[in-house]
Order: sequence, then structure tokens, then C-alpha cells
Amino acid sequence: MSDVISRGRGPRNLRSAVGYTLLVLVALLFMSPLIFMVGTSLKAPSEIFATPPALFGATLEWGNYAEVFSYAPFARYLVNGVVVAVSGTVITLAVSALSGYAFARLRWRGRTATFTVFLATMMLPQEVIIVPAFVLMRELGWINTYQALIIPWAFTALGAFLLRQFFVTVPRELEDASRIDGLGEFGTFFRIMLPLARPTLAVLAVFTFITYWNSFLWPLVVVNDVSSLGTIPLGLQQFFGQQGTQWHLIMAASVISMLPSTILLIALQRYLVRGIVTSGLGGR
Amino acid sequence: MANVPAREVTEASAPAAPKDHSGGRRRGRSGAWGVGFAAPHALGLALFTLVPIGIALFMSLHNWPMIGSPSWIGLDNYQELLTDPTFRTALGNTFLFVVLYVPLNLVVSLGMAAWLSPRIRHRQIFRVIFFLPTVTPIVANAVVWRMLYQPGGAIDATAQSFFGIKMPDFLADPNWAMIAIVVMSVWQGFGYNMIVFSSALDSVPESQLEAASLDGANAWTAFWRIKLPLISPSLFFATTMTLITSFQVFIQPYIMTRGGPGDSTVTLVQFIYNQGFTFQKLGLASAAAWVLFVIILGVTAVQFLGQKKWVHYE
Amino acid sequence: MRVRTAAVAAAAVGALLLTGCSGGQSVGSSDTLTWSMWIGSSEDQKVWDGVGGTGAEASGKKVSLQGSPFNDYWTKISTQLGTDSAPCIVTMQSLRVNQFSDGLLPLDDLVKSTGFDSDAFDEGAMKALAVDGEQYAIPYDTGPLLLFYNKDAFGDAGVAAPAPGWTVDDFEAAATALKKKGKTALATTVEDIFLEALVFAHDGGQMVDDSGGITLDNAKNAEAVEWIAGLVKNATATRADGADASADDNAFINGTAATVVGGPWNSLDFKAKATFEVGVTTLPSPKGAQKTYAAGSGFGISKTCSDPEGAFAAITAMTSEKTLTSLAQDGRAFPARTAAQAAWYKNAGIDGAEETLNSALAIAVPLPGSADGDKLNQLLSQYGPQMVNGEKPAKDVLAEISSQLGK
Repeated sequence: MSDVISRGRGPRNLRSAVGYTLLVLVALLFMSPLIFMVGTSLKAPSEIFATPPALFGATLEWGNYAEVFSYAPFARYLVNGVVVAVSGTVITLAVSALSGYAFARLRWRGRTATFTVFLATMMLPQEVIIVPAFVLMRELGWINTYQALIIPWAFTALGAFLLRQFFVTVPRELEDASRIDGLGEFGTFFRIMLPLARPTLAVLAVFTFITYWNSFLWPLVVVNDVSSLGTIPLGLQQFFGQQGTQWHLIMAASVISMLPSTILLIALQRYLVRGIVTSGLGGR
Repeated sequence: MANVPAREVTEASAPAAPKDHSGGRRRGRSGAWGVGFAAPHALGLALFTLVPIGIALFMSLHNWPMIGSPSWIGLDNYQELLTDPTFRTALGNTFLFVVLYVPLNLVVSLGMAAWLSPRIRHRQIFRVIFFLPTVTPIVANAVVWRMLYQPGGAIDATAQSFFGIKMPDFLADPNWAMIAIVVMSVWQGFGYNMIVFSSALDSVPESQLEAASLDGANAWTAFWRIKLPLISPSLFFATTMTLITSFQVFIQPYIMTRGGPGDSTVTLVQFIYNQGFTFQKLGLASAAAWVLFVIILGVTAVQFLGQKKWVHYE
Repeated sequence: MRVRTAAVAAAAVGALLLTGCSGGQSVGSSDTLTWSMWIGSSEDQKVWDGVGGTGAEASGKKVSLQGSPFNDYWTKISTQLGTDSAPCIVTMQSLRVNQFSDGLLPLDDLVKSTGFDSDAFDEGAMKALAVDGEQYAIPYDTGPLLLFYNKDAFGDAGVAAPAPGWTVDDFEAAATALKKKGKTALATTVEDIFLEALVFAHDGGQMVDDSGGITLDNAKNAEAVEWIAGLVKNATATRADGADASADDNAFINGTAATVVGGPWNSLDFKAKATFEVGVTTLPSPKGAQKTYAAGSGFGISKTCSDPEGAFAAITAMTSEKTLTSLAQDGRAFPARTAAQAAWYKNAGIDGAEETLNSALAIAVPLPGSADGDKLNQLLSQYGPQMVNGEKPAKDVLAEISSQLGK
């Protein structure tokens, strides 16, 4: 039990060095499944269940990564994943920016009630409406289409909430100035407000992209033709084939599937932290 | 050991406190503009979220096969759920998961957030590391863990080679399967809350802590008496969100155990999926979905009612 | 600048929606026959695309192949049949045809009107795809369930190559010898087709009876499962894994287990992946009571198909002697057409395969399917490991599954 602001130099340094080492160890242990995944992805199939276990095989089989693309239409899954995630994100950003602005800065009848409904749906898990949403897709003739993967989840309330929280903080003077410049409502929104919201939009974009990218249950339900419409999570399943689970390929495919989110995370981590905090995106 | 939160209300801002006061500053024509701006989102939300909730309720009152025409059966689906041992097991498993997962997630994330104080060097790197699994596909995470867990897999093989201990077959042993899933889920999920708590702790003013230390409080008491009450809004929000999402657990058991061994890891969402898409009883699946919905609403309501007792806003 | 970005984004979304709508996903278009099939890999895709090509040529329409992994295939089919989104040509497994016959078109009229020669097919294979005397699919492959074994491991353990018709006692003796060499004898599974076959071969226990009723509580089933559980306890069989349907194949291929239950359709894959010599024999049965199931797959037509004649023309080509011979040459499917079977033997590359297959074919009976077949498989994957691994009495587990199916 150390004092928070204890001034003692020597023992404290020692203690913090020990603590730091411990932290590094914990982080390594935490990372071990991922390290193990990378290791396995580079092993020859025969070495995967070797005893004693080794992190890496005798040789590094980089060819496994190429085999992922020849064994299954993995390139297609990647393209589908990007198409779905990017278009879903674009729609989400567009409608959320508009509605967030309307909730924060415009006065209209039914605003509070509408916003309350929006907030309430944030508590609603996607899984609850999976069956009726599927029936709806069937009625619309959208089963096994891109729009079924993209559209239904582009209107979740999170974006409106996030952007409203931001727009509320914009000083009113800016609005008045734009008025004087003769900008209309749309002009004010588009020329003044939207550029200001860029960081928040970036946060929303990243989270929306990742959510689409990782989504599993919904594609599982609406995609019939996995070979041509499958996304990454569905594609990963493909390696548990009838013909023996291809662990080395699954691991290589998993590594590939993690790359986009990992890169986004590392590149934008400062924004993401801010986004999580201001929006209360926690609790996943 | 102060379990009772300190009463002091401080100036620290509550970063994640959801509030609903906003300026409706525009006058005049903005009524139409407001409706117009909100309309695309509101219509989409209505069509793809509200309408399905309604359809679900409607369907739950029908015998609704995948193929063929539905027939009205009133509350029979709900009655069937009550008497269905599989449903009760799924309900029990889901609660078990929630009861194990939520506290563990909160303790780990709060602990790591406290540990990763601003004094830690390369704090950002650690944050990224612990956050990483939350953004990678759960399917990929679950697949890796399945391989770790299986007999002859990394955990078992390591234990055998270095300690000569034979590990249980985690995912095939009814006593272990749920625990294995919880451990994997905490590993993959605590990063979000850690970030939330970490930022909340950062915003605790130094002056408060100095004052406490002058009063002779050590780090432990300072944490319990000063920091915890100050970050209680974040705790509240994180707890609520974690509760809501943990009731929806599906992918981890679906990939790692398929609900087995026996029915020891069948969760509510898997029950819904199985009934709806494997057994093609869409009505029964919708009824189960509504039960899940009501449970989540209830738990959230309890959370909100209970918050007065322990959450301190500015 | 902003405006332009937004315009580009809007255009992109719009274009996407348009392509999505017309992206070949719609089933109704009149110049395309959609064909659904389980696809495990790009390799599969290539081969079946080729088969689809022969159908396209014959029907004068495009045949578009819609694939999903086997594990999800049946769920997908069940959500599609009976709706507008149903594929025209539906690949069916003999043991699942009862389950989907409601959504399928009886083919008898088409067979008659086109003069399709049913007699060229293995009689059992044809029958296995009929329900109540009506033909619902034309088989492309068939085959008795067999026991593949690791010739090298058997040799090392000093066990003579098992001849077709070997007995349970022979198997147990081999298992003991293998155990002495540190080898596990059998890779267990809880997948319906393979487990049911092993049980049936052991003592004639049927989990589904010939009329499609679930008969799990038949005492013989429990007896046979207890026998397997005994092997697991005795460490002469691997533990079953419900979440991974291919765990048994893996255990065999990587040399952990010396035998595995499989069909002729497995031989190509086993041979390609195993680093040892693969042998094949019949499933172990009591002396003088050799038994096994046969299962096969074929192509049917959905009721909602707008052009059944075109689809049947395609199916005729997809099951022609030429097509099936080429599949047989790949070692992919043991042809349901008797004339094409020689090609399979020639290319199987497993010594004694013909003798084994003949021995098994002579006694094989079609593996019966149930209307609840998919549920049964799902429940077996969930509950099966407990009984096969000896954690719970087989009788209790079977009763539990039975009661869940009863609802």
C-alpha cells in the first residue's frame, strides 16, 4: 500500500520498476492468444499440434497466407467486407449528421419525443429483431443482396446521439455569423457545422466500419450465397470445412481479418479514446 | 475500507453522463428544417428497428412457420416457452453468463484502468494492446480461443510439457465450458470499459487527492473514497451497457461449443436462432426475442432506479 | 469541396444499391437457373462450376452456383424453399430429402416426358432420393459408409490389413495392438451420417427407422454407443467434438487415430492430405451380420422454380455419364450411374477399394432420413459428445434428444 504522493525516491523507483515489469508480463500474457495466432498461421499443418508446443514451426510458412486466397474466395470476402462496411458507414454518417444536428440545433415539434425514442432503441439489441428483420428482408426481396447487409443497420441511433452531443457544444455565435453571411439552414449546416464535426464523424466512422466489418449473425441469416456475397466473419467459418479443419489457414485468415481494425485502432487511437469517452460507447 | 461512497459532490465533470438538455435556439422556419433533417434517419430507424419490434410482437402471437401461412395462437408461444426445459436452460445459462461476466469485466477493466495511470510510461501502447481484441472480429477471437482450449491445444500442451498436468477438456466439460467462454469474453471485451474508466480516472482533480492524502488516506482508501464516487457516472453507464450487451452473448458459444456439451452453453440468442432458423418456428423465436427484450428493459430500469443510491453527478 | 465529397459518396451509395439490385442475386431472372450446393473451398467451387457449365449448355440458360459451407447449407435451404428466393436446382442429400420434400417438385412426370433413363442409375441411390414413391432428386453420387484406415499404423502394430467383412472382435483386437504402439484406433464423431452408420454396423441399431420415424430409444442404439464410449474410455478412440464436425477427419489425417468412418466421397481428400498410406475396409460388424448404410446426394428442383423443364434438362446433363465419369476421375464422387463407376475404381488409388466397395454395396441399405433430420443432427452435435465420450449413459442422452425432438 503506497502513498499516492509519497515523496520517497529510492524504494518508489524500485517498486515502480517491479510494477512495470509485472505490467509488461500481464500485457504479454494478454497478447499471447494473438501471438499464438500469428505463430500458428506460419506453421506447416503437421506442426500445429506438436508437443511440446512451440510458438513457431521449424520454418515460417508464408505460403499459408497465399493459400488462404486460393483455398477459399477470400479476396472476394475482403472486397465484400469493404463494400458493405464502407457504404454502411457512408449512409450512417450522412443520416446521423443530419439528425444529430436537428436534435441539437433546430427546434421542431416532436423533437424531444423523437429523441427519446432514438435513445430507447439504443438499448435494443440487434438480436431481438433478427427474426422479424429477416421476414422483412424476405418481403422486400432483399435476401442474399448487398442492401440487406448494409441498409437495415445504417440507421441505428448511436450516430445521432454522438453527433447531437457534439453539436450541442458548438457556440451559438458561429450560427449567428453564418446568418449574417446569408447562409440558409442547409448552408449553415453544411459549410459551418459539418466541418467542425469532423473529429466526431471520424470516431463514428471508425466504429461503424468496425461494427459492419465484424458483424456475423446478420450475414449468417441473410446471405445464402457465401461464395459470392460472404463477408470476412462468414468466410472464416468456411475453413471449418467438411474436409478437415485447416487450422493454419484459419489462423492466417484470422490475422488478415484483424488487420483493418488493428490499423485503424493504432492510427486513430487518440480520437477513439475521446469518442468512447464522450459517447459512452463502453460496455461492449 | 469504505464501501459507502463518500458524499462529497465535486466539481469533476462526469464525462459519460447521458443528459438531455439542449438548445433549441433556432426560430421561425426551422420547424420544417428540423423535421426534414431528422426525417431520413427517423424513417430508417422506424422501418428497420421499430417496425420489426412490432412485427416480432405480432409474430410471437402466431404459429409462424418458415414456409406456409401463419395462424393466430394467442399466448401459446409464451406458454410453450414457460414449459420448455431448453428455454429455461438457455435462460439460466444466459443469466449465469451475465452474473459471471459483468462483475469480472468491470473488476478487470477498472483494475487495469487504475493500473494504467498517467504515470505509467508508454501508457498509450498498453491501452492499444488491451483494447485490440475489442475491435477484431469476434469470430476470429473465438476461433483462436477454441484452438487454445482444445485438448492438445496451447493451454493443455503447455501445462503438460512444463508442469506435467493434464488440463480438462475445457469446451467439452460441462463444468468448464461456460467458464471458458466467460474468460474468453472478458479477454475480448474489457477494453471498452477500461478506456471509459481510464479517462474518468484521469479527470479526477489532483487537489482532491492531495487533500485526502493530507488526511492520511493511503492509495487504497483514496481510490475507494475519492476516485470511485467521482467516476460513478461512468461506472453506471458502463455497467448498464455491459449488462445489455452481455444478455446478447451468441458468437462465442456458437463458434466454440455450438451450445454444447449438452445444453450447458446454449444462450437465449442461440435459442432464438435455433428456433427461428434451424427449427423454423419463427413465432416461437419471436416470443423468445420478446422475453429477452423485456428482461433487458427490466434490468435497465432497475439500473436507472438504483442509480440514485450510488451515482453522483456533478 | 465538401459538397463534392458528399456528392461522390451519394453517387457511390446509389450505384451500389443499383448493382446490388441487379447484381445477379435475384433468382427470378428468366435466363438464369440458380443452383444451390454446399461448397467447402475454391477447389470445390471450380469443379462444381464445371458441372454447372454442362447444365448450362444443355438447358440453354445460365446456371449460377450459390454456395455455402455444409454446416450452414441446410439452414439456408430451409429458409429459402417455398419462397421466391428459392434456388431452382437444389442439391439434396438422401437422408434429408424427407425433410425438404414439401418444397421440392416431384420429378416423375419430367422423367416420363423426357424419356430420362432411370435404370442407368444404381437402384438404391435412386430410391434413397424418393419419398413415398415419388422421385425428388436425381443422384450424382452414392456410396456405402466405410472404414478408412492408416495402413502404416496397422503395419507398425503388426495387424494384418483388415479384409472386407471383418468383425467387431477383429476391430477390437486391432485396437489393442494399436494401443500398445501408442496409437488410438478410432476417430469418433457425432455427425449424424457417420455415427448412425457405425451404430447400425455394430448391432443393427437404427436412430431413424425406414419410415422416417425417430427411434433413438431403441435399446440397440444405446448399446452400440456404449460400445463406442467404452473405446473412448479405454483410450482406443478419440473423444468426439460436437463443435467441430471435421475433428474426426483431422484426427485421422494427422495420424492421431488409425481409422475413421467415411464415404467414398472422402477418399480423395484423405488420400491427398494423409502422409501415410490410406486403406479402406468395411465397418466392423458382428460375425456373419455385416451391415452398413448407404447415402448419396443428387439434384432436385424447387417447387417455385419458374422453368422446371429447363432445370431438368440441366440436371440431366449434370448427372450424365460424361459428367459423372469426370467427377469419378477426380475421385470426388462415387458415381450413382453404374456405367461411370469403373472410372472411380481406376482413379481411387486405394488398393482393395473395389473389393471393399463391392462387399459393402452388396449389403448396404439406404440411410433413412427423417423430417426432423436437421434437428437431430443439431442435437447430436450438442448432446452427442456426452454419450460418446462416456460422460453420461447413452440411454439417458438418447432419451433427452428424443424428448426434444418430440415437441
